[in-house]
Amino acid sequence: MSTLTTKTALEIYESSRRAIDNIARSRNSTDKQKATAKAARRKLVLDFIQKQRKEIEARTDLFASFIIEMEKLIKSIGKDSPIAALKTLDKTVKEAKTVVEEK
Amino acid sequence: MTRSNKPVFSLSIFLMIFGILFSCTVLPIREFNVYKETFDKVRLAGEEILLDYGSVSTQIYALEQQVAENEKITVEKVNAQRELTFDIAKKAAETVDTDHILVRMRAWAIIALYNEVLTGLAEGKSASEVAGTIDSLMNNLTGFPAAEITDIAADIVPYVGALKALLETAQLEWSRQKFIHVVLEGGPSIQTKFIAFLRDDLQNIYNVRAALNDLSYQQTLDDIAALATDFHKLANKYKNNPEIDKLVKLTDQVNHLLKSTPDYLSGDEETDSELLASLEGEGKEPYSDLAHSQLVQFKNEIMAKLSEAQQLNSALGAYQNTMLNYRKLIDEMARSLRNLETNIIDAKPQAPPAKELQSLYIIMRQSYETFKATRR
Repeated sequence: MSTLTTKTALEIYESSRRAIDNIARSRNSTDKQKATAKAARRKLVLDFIQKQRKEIEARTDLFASFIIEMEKLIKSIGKDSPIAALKTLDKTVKEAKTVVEEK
Repeated sequence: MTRSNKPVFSLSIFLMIFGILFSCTVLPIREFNVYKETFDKVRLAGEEILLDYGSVSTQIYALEQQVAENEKITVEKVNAQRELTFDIAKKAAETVDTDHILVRMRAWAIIALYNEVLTGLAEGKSASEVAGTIDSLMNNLTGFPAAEITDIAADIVPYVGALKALLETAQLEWSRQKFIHVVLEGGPSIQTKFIAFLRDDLQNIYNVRAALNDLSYQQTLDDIAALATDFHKLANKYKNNPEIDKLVKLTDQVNHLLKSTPDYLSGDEETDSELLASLEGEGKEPYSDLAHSQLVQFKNEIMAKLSEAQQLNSALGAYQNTMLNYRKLIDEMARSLRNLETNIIDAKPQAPPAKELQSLYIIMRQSYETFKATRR
């Protein structure tokens, strides 16, 4: 989805840039025309870069959700194992022992 | 539970646990190792690319400053600096500082942890904790301040060795089956989310670097065009004379350099003629050695700028190769994970290895002898 969008964006950027380049370099352009063309090129590049950054930033939330999902999965591992049951039993007996001894 | 049927109860537990062992889960360790090795390679490359992307923020900031300086000041823009209507909640949400690179690094780290957990399950590391836990439990039971509990504990003591061996094996089998479950649960998420996000990120990250490279490249071509214009202006001061062949040759050399520079010419004859040097007009001045050396100087400066342009071109080419290789690594990682999942789904439970069964049989036999002795 976004790969197609960014490819098209690159093509649009390239064709716009060529039109600007011709003005910026032609010996028939005045100094003012050249300066304006160069400024327009910088703006074109910046707009293009900012579009890419926005797409990257939008994707950050997706990465964050993925992290939460994996953390949940990792935390759930081991809860139903024989050793987990044994440790729970051991803890229960130890706590009961303490309660009875205090009485 | 009365004292007389406790040994029967214990034996029935032994047989139940032993029943688990008849189907032993075999894990595709080779495929798992291939996946892990591929992951490590991709992670290394991925983090370098992220850090490189992070390093361009200075260049982008400088570009933003340049663009801002050239922006036309309008009444609307000036007035927009003072906002009376101010949505606090919206602004607070907008101005949250997110480190986009750090989040991605964390995503790599969480999968590395997931792989570590899988390794622990595959190796059955938790099985080694069984003996220690049973010892702790037995200590707590035998030291319990109640006769009913210590009696039960005393009955279990002769079977503790067998219990440890059986529970270790049960834990090992649980680990193996959990490994399968965790791969089949986490694997699809890694494929459809993490790997898909990495692929999408790649094009955007490349585009940022490519655009910055292109800006520098085009600015270098601007300098070349300015030098070509100066060459053109100077060359056209000289009228026809015997030395003109030298001038024509020099002009041809300069044009050859310009024509062989990517992106310099557009392919449109009319536009391109304005970018190349040509000898035209009356040219009244004599063509001297000084004039020739000045023109050669322009040519040399054009060549120096061309060298800069070529370096930028090479840098872009190298970056394209890096991204291509990284994409191939990502695809390899996806393939190795898919291979692991397929092998897990296709794996059928097998009988445990003979060596594992034999040692268990000996322990079971000893426990059974103890059981018979306590029954008497």
